[in-house]
Amino acid sequence: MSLDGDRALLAELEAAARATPGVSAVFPSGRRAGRLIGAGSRLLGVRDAEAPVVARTRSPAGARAELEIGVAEPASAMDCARRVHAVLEDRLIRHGIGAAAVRVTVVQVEARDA
Amino acid sequence: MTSEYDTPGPSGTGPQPDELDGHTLDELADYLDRGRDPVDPSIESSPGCRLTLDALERLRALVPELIEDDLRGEPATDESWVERILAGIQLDARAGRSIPIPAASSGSADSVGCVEPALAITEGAVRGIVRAAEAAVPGVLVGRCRLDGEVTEPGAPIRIDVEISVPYGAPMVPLAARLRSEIRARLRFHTPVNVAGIDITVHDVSRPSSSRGDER
Repeated sequence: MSLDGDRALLAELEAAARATPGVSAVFPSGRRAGRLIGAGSRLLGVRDAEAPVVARTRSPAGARAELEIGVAEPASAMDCARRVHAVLEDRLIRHGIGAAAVRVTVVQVEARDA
Repeated sequence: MTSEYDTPGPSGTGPQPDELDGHTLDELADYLDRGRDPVDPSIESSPGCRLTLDALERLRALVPELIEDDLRGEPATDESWVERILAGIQLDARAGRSIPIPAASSGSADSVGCVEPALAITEGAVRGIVRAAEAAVPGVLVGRCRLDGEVTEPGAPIRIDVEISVPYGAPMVPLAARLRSEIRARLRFHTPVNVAGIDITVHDVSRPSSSRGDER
């Protein structure tokens, strides 16, 4: 099993990230360029609604799973990012994908109402 | 010293619609009007939109009449400061640079020598954290927020530059001090940013419509 072409695994990673305490949202990765393309695709009616949120990318070190998350207070953004990273790494190791790297980016923090 | 505000957008007034992933401020205001119901996945899946919605909600709680006037394009009694606040909200929604987060065990960012850190927080998210500090200081609104310094370099000293609006008649120095304290605490809690200083500039003095009748 590998990250390549394994949508079920990417979906599992996304679900694991969403279930991590403190995570308020999991955003489509690839940031601006990817979301612009996605927005354009939606307008044209050709977007793949089932496309995984966890991105699978290539780096010199091999395959990589990338994820962007929102964090809700009172959780700390740093602590939450570390938890998500640990959860995803654990999942990948359980699937025998030791060489894969995980990248987690916090893109939004929801403040607790004052 | 670098800051992503060094290069303004083509209009010179802030980010282009792509920073809100194809949405406009008016659309987001309408979405708030509807109580974010039904859920719009294209908005809720956009970090820029969600950051903007967070800021708009706090702003609306303080000056609902002025916000509606501004977004409808109608002249407001004190439209200039509201426009600056809204411009700041849009600017701050940019994702910006990625700030490395250290792994807990090492205490140092897993990014030394790496182009892309394993853990990071975006500049946009950090600006959102700074902006949210305004909720702890009633009447204060953050107009713009900048992070000056090499944020992508772990441990680099970063200055936080904040422009604010304060209510007419309120003592500025204690308000600024309280805001500074809140910003520092929130950054320490959420981010690895080495805050070298927090510069607060009072850019506007606001007169919400509810106070107009009290003018002397």
